Order: sequence, then structure tokens, then C-alpha cells
Amino acid sequence: MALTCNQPLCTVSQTNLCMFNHPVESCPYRMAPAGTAPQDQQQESTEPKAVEPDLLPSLRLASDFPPSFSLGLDDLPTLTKKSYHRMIGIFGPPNAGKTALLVSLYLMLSHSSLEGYSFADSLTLREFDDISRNARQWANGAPEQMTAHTELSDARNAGFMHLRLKQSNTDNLFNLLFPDLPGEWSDTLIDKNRTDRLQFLKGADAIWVLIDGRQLLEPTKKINVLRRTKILIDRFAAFLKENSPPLSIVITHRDVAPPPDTSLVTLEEECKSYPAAVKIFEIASFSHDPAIKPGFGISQLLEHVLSTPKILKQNLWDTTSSLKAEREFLNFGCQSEES
Amino acid sequence: MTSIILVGTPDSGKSNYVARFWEAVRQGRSRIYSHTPPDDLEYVEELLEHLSSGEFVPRTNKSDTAITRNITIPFAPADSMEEESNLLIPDVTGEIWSTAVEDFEFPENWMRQLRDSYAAMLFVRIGSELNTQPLDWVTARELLSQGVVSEGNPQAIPTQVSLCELIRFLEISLPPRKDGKLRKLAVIVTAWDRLNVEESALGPKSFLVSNFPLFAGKIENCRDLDIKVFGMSVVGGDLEEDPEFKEEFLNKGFSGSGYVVTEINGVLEWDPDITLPVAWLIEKE
Repeated sequence: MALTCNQPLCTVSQTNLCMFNHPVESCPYRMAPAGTAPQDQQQESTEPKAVEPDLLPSLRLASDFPPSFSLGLDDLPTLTKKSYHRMIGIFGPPNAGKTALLVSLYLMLSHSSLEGYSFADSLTLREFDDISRNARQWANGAPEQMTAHTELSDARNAGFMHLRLKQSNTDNLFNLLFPDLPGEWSDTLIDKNRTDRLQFLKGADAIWVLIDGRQLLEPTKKINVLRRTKILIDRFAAFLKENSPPLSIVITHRDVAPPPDTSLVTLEEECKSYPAAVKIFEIASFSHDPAIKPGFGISQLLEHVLSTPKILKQNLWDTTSSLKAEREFLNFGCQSEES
Repeated sequence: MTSIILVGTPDSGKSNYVARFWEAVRQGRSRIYSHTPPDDLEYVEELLEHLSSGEFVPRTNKSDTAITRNITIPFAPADSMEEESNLLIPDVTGEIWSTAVEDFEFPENWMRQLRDSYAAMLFVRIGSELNTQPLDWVTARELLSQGVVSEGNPQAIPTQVSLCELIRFLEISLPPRKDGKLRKLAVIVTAWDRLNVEESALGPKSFLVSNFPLFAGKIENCRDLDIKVFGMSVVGGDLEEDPEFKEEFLNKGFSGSGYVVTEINGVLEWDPDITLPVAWLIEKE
């Protein structure tokens, strides 16, 4: 039986999640299902109702501001019609450092320490801040799909994070979208070639593949890490084909130690089959080494993307997809970038 | 009628400004003049009683969340016979703005008021104990390493994030102007007297860049609002920490006390007229 709610922004009918975190069975805003017989409605109305917070009637909450959590697929067409947005897909197994990279980027902006760039705006500022304070995590395991809309939720959703940066030496403005995906999606891409939920990557300006640098230092783990990275790169190449964007191999935890030269050579060799440019970076989102500042390498990683010419994205109609939002999203690359 | 809504989390200086603004208008020597004294002066006079006795207006009691005070001061630009506007002051406790930032919830009656507002003033106070700094790297690393969401996460939303969100709310909610120009927002950096000479000489924009870089970036690059930043000291000194100043103020009174700092073409100007930000908001260009 479909759940409905009299709060306009509550998405319980799609998500089964109450925007006020009430148990859905006893939420005071839950509406009786259509077709419920009057006696059944009467029966429902005798259920004890949750007590409203201590508010005067004039303060009863009836209108809200849209949250600044991650954007959904359906949120993007309107956004990207106004100006060019560079999308950077960040992939890598769980614990490779994807979240740490985003948090580090956010903290550098918060402290005005991102070399070459400053903060101009973000539509997902609370998402960045909540993730940095560990106030938001994937709920009940990884989500299965990209979220459709910005959702008011305590849990982290698979969606897009947004930043607008100003380049210090030119005053040029850049809009960035980072798909925020759980590491499990990279694993299933490797293990199951699951690409159905990654159609948006056909409009990506760059892909960052993260490798936990600490594992490259462990002889018993290094080989498998490099193997699976190669498989991941091959998956992207097969899936994206002529739409393959430039790819960056991002080796994290540089503060622990530099990666072995042999690993770098292996990676360079394995990337030769990728149909677009590949470059390797080393970063330290956080640092235990006083000689290496937190955020090491991230500015260079970003600069590499932003100095690359914009991609003229084709209208890649996917005739097998029934998701209109994905089609609209793929149209977003044709507007001029702000400057 | 023109309404200007005051925005700011607790302890940002809104109430002190309301009091000082009324006194400046009442004295009749400012850019804003009241042809018609408001009927209901009870609330502003309560506020002024604090300042008059050498005390800043105390923070609204948290338990007063349910109490709202709509103060209407009819005013018009000095030397003008224009129809008076009303400075509508929804001087509700900043807790409602805090709740909006934290939970995106906002009472319907206030949303209606916001959507009827002509312009807005956003306050941030220098040295407020409630100002929260962004996470440092060590704390962030520790939090990220925790496997589960911290119970009752003690890390509050940083002030600069709250301020960015408040601007976002205004971008969404302030109605378009009938003349088609950008809606105006005056950002007021209060307690300017708490800065030392060197800091003060850099101006309010530089202060925000140094202390709230996200907020400064949002202001600098905002395309939807015409934003001007003002530094302000409502009485010209610190009544709490500077006994000598307090004694001087109690002897001299409000006349000549307080100032606004603006930046015009890169040059800082100190102006004794506390009503300057409001005058800017309502000026006909």
C-alpha cells in the first residue's frame, strides 16, 4: 500500500523515508490511503498520534527551504542549461579515499588554502559539510541507484555534489559536479560489469580512479590492486568507447610514502589501452607527515581537469533507456562556461 | 509598504541594531527620518533601555522562541517627501534562522513575511562565542576514521556555512523587484570596534575573506543579489570589555556614538550614520 504524506516535500511515497525521521507507521503527517473505508479511517485516527513539538499554531511548520544535500539526476537539466558544468567521476574501491578527497577539497576551500582557486558557491554545501563532520553516511549499505531529487535525509544518497570555483589568476569561474558514489559501485563495475546506473558518465569531463597508496606498499596486496585497477579502466573504455574522457589515476595516502616506481611503471603500461589521455597523480587528502600538507596534490589534480578544453557533448540518446532525465542530462554540455 | 527583513543566527547583533537604528531615526540627524513616530514603541524602547544603561541588549531567551515581535517603524529618506516605508523588524530570536539552516524548516508565517520583503540585512558579529570555526584537519581526519555516524555529533555547522545558507534562502525567497533590478542585501559585520587598528584598516570585505572565506566567496560571486558589506559598531566601543568607554558613553549618550564602515572604490570610509545600510537598501537609483 503506497505511503502518502501531507507535507509537500516529503518523498516517503518514493523512498519510504519520512523527512522528519518519524517511523512511517506513526508519522502524524501520514495520509490515509486512498479508498480506505471511513470506519478504517476512523480506526486509524484512534491510533496514538505523535505529539507535535511545542509550537504555537502560528509557528507550525508548513513551508521549507530546499535542502543543500546532493543533487539528483532530475535536478541537473535545469542547472546545466544555464552554464557549462564539468563532471568529474570519482571511482575506486571502498576506503580508497574518495570521501577523504572530497572532504579535503572542501576543507581547503573552507580555510582558503586551495592553491589557485577560491570558493564561489555550492548548491550542496550542507552535503559537503555534513560529510566532513561524519554526520552523513551511506544508510543500510550502499544505495542501488542515483537519487532522482535532492532529498531531505539523514543518510547519504548517491547523487551529485556541486562546487563553483573561481580561478585566482584569471577570475574565471568553473562549475563542477562530482557524482558521489559508494565504493561498492566500483566493485560491481569490476565484478559484474554493471553499467546501467552509470549512463551519466557518458557526459563526464574526467574520471578519477583512486587507488589506496598504502596498498601499493604492501607486497601481498599490490598485485591485486593493480589488477583490479586495470579491469576498472578496461570497463570504462568498453562502456564509454568514443565518449571516454581523460582519466586520472589518483594514488592516495602520499603522506605515508611515495608509491613504488615499479607500480607506476605498471600503471602507465596498463593505461595505454585506454582511448583517451591518462595521467597519474599522487595526493594526500590528510597527512600524518609534517612535511606534506593536507590536501597535497589536489590542486594539481583539479588544475589538470580545468585546463583541459571543454568537451562538446553529443546528444547521446540511449534508445534502451526509459529514463528521460538521463537523456536530458546528456544535453547539458553545449552552453558556454562562465568567465 | 516596504519591508526589510533582518536575518541572523543568535548573538549576531540584530536586536542591538534595531535599538540603535530607532534612536538614530528618532534623533532626526540621519539619512532616514521618521515623519510619524510608530504607535508601538514598547519593544524598541525596552531594547534601548539596555543600551542607555550601558549594556548591550542580552540574547533573547531561548525559551522565547515562540515570541515574535514585529516592529514597524515608518520612515523615509531625509529631505524627502516620499511616502514612508516601514522598516519591518521580525526580531524573532535567531533560533528560527538556526533551525532553518540546520533542518531547512521555516515557519509559514515567517516565510510569507520573507516573500513580502523588499530587501534584507544579514548580520554576523565579530567575536561572538556562538561563531563556529570550520573543522581543523586533525578533527576531520578523526571523524572520518570513525566507522559510524557520531552520536549527537558535537561538531556544529560552521558559521560561514550557516551564512552561505542564509544567503541561499534569501536568493530563493526574496521577491523580484518591480523595477527589475537586483534585490539588495546588506551584510552587517557587527562589533567592528573589537578589531585592532590593523585589522580594522583592512575593511569589512577583507575581514570576511580572512575569517569566513566561503561566505566571502559567496558574496563576491553572487549573481542573484546586489550585496554590500558594512562594518558596524552600534555605539562605537565595547560596553562589556571597556569600562573607560562605557563611562564615556554614559556621560555622552547616543549622540555621535556608533559608526558604519564602508568601502567605496577601495577606500574605507567611517560614517557616523547608523542608518546608512538601510538608506542604501531603499535608495532609488
